[in-house]
Amino acid sequence: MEHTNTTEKILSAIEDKQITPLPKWYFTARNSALWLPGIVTTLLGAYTIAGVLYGILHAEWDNGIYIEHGNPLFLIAAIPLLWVISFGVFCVMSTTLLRKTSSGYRHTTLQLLLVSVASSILIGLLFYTITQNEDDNKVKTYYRYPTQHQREYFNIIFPKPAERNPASLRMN
Amino acid sequence: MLESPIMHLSDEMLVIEAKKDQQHFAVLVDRYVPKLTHYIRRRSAATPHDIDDLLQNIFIKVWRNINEYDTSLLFSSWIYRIAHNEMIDWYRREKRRSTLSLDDEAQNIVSKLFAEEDLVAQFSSQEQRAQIKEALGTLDDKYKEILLLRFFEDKSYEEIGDILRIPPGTVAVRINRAKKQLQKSLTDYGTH
Repeated sequence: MEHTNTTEKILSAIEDKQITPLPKWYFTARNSALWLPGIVTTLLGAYTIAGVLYGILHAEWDNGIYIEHGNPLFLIAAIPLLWVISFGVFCVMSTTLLRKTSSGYRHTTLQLLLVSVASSILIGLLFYTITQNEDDNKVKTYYRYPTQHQREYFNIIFPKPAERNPASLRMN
Repeated sequence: MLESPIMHLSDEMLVIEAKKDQQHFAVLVDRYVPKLTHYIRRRSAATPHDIDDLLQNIFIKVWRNINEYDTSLLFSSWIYRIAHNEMIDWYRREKRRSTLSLDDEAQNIVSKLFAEEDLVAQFSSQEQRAQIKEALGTLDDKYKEILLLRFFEDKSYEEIGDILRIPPGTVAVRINRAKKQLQKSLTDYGTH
């Protein structure tokens, strides 16, 4: 079959440079390399959600915080704030990675973010529900990272009124 | 001369067969050289020698990455994506500013883009062609590319999205903004 001159030149260039197609597995691996961290960050986000839920529902309601900071901050104290921030970071990471996959560009960043947040929340709820059937001490170990320094972090973000301005406590 | 039956195969079938027999790849090259030559000419002020080099690089990339082609995508979108990326690399290498070379088509762009009869009539004469070209030159790169793909390469919103790797909604927004920017430039020329 006859081809145009340009085609002949292109085919000779391919032959001269000994260019061969890259194998299929190379592209599969490259695409998986983007999907896999996306899935991992979604699962980490799910663990974070389960931890946040545990933190809120099993908060040791500390009257000290209520007296020191008042009602709204007392409620915030029950939320493991660092884990909420971590959840946000994981969701942004998985959104960025999913966007780079072969068909990720077809969706807006907001759509991908919503999918990432929704999947993390759903898997997180499932994870939390499953773990509730287990022994209390065992469950505690699952969520020890989200909850163990909760009070200390809270005190760093919201110092006690007295710590904010120690001079105000001085007696004249 | 007898026409080979492979000439009638779709692009997507040719890609599948090209992996086994390079003759099929040659048919794809034959099919896309004229289209991509037009695209490169419209997209740049490349010399015939530059165009040959660009075409060679594009088809080398197509051949090297042929196993990456996903049949859920039109082959034309995939090859235009490779061509688009190659053009960006070329601009970078040559340190040139992206341009639109629509010499013979400059007048048509106004009628293709705008329904307003006033604007079309105002820019129909030969001497105003330079003004249209100048107005096109003032557009942002992303707007130049999108107008070219939509109105001169006749690509659908979905195809443009696949070529530029952006959602179809973003394509619509960019086309709208590009038209507004061009309309403003043309109106400014008309009033001066």
